[in-house]
Amino acid sequence: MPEDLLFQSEIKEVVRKAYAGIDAGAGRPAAQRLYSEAELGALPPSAVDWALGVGNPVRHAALQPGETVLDVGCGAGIDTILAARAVGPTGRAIGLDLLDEMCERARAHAKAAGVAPWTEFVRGEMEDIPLPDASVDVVISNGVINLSPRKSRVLAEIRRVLRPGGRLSVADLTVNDELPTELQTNDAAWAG
Amino acid sequence: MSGALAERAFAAKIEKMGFTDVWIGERVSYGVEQAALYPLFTPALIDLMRELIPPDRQATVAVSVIAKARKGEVFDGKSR
Repeated sequence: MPEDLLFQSEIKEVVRKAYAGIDAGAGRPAAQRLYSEAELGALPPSAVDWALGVGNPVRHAALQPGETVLDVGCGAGIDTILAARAVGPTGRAIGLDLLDEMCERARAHAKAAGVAPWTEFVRGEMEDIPLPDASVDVVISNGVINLSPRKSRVLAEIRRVLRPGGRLSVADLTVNDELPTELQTNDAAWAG
Repeated sequence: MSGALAERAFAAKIEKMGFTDVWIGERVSYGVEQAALYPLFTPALIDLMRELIPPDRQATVAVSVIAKARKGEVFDGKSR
């Protein structure tokens, strides 16, 4: 019987280890559920292979040229790159991820996509976003907020970094029925 | 997935944290088969899901949504 995950720090460590332990994403079949062929065609193939999201928050973000957008939990950078294309070189796209190795992958993908000059990747926690108050126009995120045991804190941090009137566009998992107890307390199920 | 909220609770939390114009849409079902595409769902976890989740619920274990909102002018009774 798996142990109960009682502590927020324990859940965070489980999630960190799970993401650090994978050597590929869900791949093109998963990405094709979420992104158009045109969007996928504009991405480096290795970025598509690293797809780990559950939706397409950029499609709903109504990004405008010149805006600054933050991608919370950017992973290997798919949504950050799509956002960077939308805001263009007069804007700025920032990817935030807990893992250095994800930031490295995302930097390589942004360079391959030709958006590196106005895109940056920052290692940090979504519960403690390392950006100044009111410094971004739009926050996007894809399948990440559900991983945090402190969702209110994450949303408070997102609100803090948004400028007045700033926008949020988030894809995330929800559940309609309670999962069986043994799944709720399964560490892999927290990260998955 | 264990940390996922019910859609209504997710929307309520966004609103409670000072966002306005909260919109939830573009629902996409995730069943055991879709979960199996993701490496974070280990084979052992997928087997456990198949064992524990009733067959009639295995096609929709979770639902991904898009949540959109705008930073409100007032939070906790204070203008910010």
